[in-house]
Amino acid sequence: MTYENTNGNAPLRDGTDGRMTAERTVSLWSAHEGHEHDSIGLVVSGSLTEGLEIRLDDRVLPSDVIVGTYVTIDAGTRRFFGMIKDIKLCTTIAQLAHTPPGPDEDFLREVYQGTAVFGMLQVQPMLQINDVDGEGRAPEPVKSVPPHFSRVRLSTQEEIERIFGTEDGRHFVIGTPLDMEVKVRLDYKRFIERSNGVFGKSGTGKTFLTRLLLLNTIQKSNSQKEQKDKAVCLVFDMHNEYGWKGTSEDEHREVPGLKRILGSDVAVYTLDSESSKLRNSYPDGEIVIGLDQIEPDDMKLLQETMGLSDNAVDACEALYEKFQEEWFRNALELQITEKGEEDPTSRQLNIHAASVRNLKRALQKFKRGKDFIVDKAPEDVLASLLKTLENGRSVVIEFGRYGSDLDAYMLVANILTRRIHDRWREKTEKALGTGGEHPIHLIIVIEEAHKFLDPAVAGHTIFGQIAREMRKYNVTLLVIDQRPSAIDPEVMSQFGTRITCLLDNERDIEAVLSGVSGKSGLRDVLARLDSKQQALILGHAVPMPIVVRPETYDQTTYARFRESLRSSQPAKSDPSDDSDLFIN
Amino acid sequence: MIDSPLVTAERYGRVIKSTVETFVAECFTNAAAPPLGELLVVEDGTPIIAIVADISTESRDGTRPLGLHGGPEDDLQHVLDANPHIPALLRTCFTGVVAGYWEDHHLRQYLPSAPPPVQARVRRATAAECAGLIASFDFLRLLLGVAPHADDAIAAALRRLAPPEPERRPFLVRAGKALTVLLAEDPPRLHALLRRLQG
Repeated sequence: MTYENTNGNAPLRDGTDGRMTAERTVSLWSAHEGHEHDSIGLVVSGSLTEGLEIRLDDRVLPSDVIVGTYVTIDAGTRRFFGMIKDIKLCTTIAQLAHTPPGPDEDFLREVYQGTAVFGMLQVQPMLQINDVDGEGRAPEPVKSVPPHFSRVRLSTQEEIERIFGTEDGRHFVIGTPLDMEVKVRLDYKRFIERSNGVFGKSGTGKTFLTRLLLLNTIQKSNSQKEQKDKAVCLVFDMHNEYGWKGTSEDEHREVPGLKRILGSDVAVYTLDSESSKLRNSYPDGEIVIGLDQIEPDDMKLLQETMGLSDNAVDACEALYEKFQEEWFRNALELQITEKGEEDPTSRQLNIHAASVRNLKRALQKFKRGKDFIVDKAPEDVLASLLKTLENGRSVVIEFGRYGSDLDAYMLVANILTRRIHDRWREKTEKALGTGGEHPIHLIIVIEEAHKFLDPAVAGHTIFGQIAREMRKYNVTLLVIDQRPSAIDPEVMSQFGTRITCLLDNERDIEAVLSGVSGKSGLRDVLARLDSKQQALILGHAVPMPIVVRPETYDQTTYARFRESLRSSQPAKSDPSDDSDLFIN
Repeated sequence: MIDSPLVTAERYGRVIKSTVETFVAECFTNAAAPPLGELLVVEDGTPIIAIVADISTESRDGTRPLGLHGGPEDDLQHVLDANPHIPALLRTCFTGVVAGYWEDHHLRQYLPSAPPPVQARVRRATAAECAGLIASFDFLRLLLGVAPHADDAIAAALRRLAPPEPERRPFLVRAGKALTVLLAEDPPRLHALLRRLQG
């Protein structure tokens, strides 16, 4: 009599046929169907703050997993989403580190793989869905953790799409995740609600990203029906990159700027009409600054670059108190006698000879070469600028040759912004008081932001003030910077959305991630970005942090914008020929 | 894999001593003992599956051990021809380590509640019976703790149980993985056992 096992063909305990083939691992990545077979591991330990530890399934090699990608964790009716922030190699037999299998011991290597040696993932949970099939289907910020042994799999394209918003009036596409062809979208309303920052080492693509952001913001604003949802941008364009045309860094070819693509939605003003002519840029107006528009606060901002002593700065204050808007001219007229004595004005204001000398020298040097500075600025320059903005047209201010003069950039940006902010404050207060329209939302774009927002000067610049005010008067900032660690941390904490390209300085990375939960994992992700065409987006305008490949700025992008421009506002589109914009 | 229908019911001997974990059986024929690592079934009673972990030949009468016969120049055959009574004085026994038992036609890979009955017959397991065993490797745990030559018996049993190529290598890898989990605390032993499997 023989005894047969009636459950003789039961599968092996680990649910597979045990074979680890190359096809199997590749199929994990191309399937993206969310079936059980796509499981890559199990949750074995961890915490909400430190992240979850996932033990990789035996058949998944650590080298098949990429940091920065998303995983989904199924836990009954709940579902969690997280980002892979670290990958570890582990072993249960310590000795193997000292006496690993030899080169001809394939059998041992195969036996140990997945049993004595295996991979572990560290995953930062970010979102959870509380009721997968029921009412609570919208993802929320994570507040709990999945239980032990919950199955982990790669997030599907459909899930990513659902999290990052479908195509609608509220979202615009910024790029695709690293390993998928899904669209990642920013929430337009949330983006313009707060000040934001674009960060990254030089050469990592900040300018391209900013152009994309501005194009999308302006376009989305155009499609908004309510005035309160619209936004205009004021760009202080240091290197002539945003107006008519710019350059592509690596290929040194020209790329069209905002005006070239969006036509009459954008106005270009220049500080240097000669330079604009040479570049074939067609500005809508010229900017001049009057000496009567410069204030002592501007001197405080530029103290270091101008070489002003503290006493000299105090002298500016004193002069302003006495002469108001004429202080600058009067400062230039202060005299020292041959005997080295102060003139009556200086004496009256308690300004010592040394300070006078320092002040005069600095102011004269400052004024030299800046053709855009005149004694008294004509009223209509600023008025025209304000009107353009109020009418819903974005403005790019080109600096021409003055872009390389940091003093000029900071001065002009500070002065113009101050005036514009004043106007916006007036309108808002009026709207709140006696009724009337609120001013249109204004986004001010500045480069080299750390110069304006350094802790030492943040208190003296209008930009520091705007950042801290948040959206009180409908003005926010979009800062572009490569040294975020030099920005006042209090200001940095006000930035809602941060988009960063590669940063390699520890302090810069720390600064960008300050105040972000789960940042320990993001730090590694940020440090490992490619030097081009990759950015980490986190903050207010995205449901969870994500690494994206930004949309390329080329013929297809351009065509898309022109198309939507034509379809939404056919009367306003620029009739100029646009077929040859990207010719090398 | 053992498959020949001719030896389906080859009976090796009877149980003469038993515990829940192991038993000793005496062979019907001294010359026909099961090899090390062979899979056995104990009939007559709760059917038990076991693995041969030891084989010994000794004098039947424990009080009278057998001495040597013949000189250094006489080979074995010569000695046996000259002393035809010797085989009758000897008996061959083998030790079986319990790997599981059947209950309601399901093979359980853990110890039965009672030892195999003394005088129960022991035969070779069929291919179908072996298939039930290798569905999982739980039985390895039973073997590892028990017999003095467990490792060699285990390696021999696994090599016997392995299907022919091309399934052979994947099977041995799976067995190796199961052993790795069980012997994580004893790397030298694990390493030695894995080498035997591979060989």
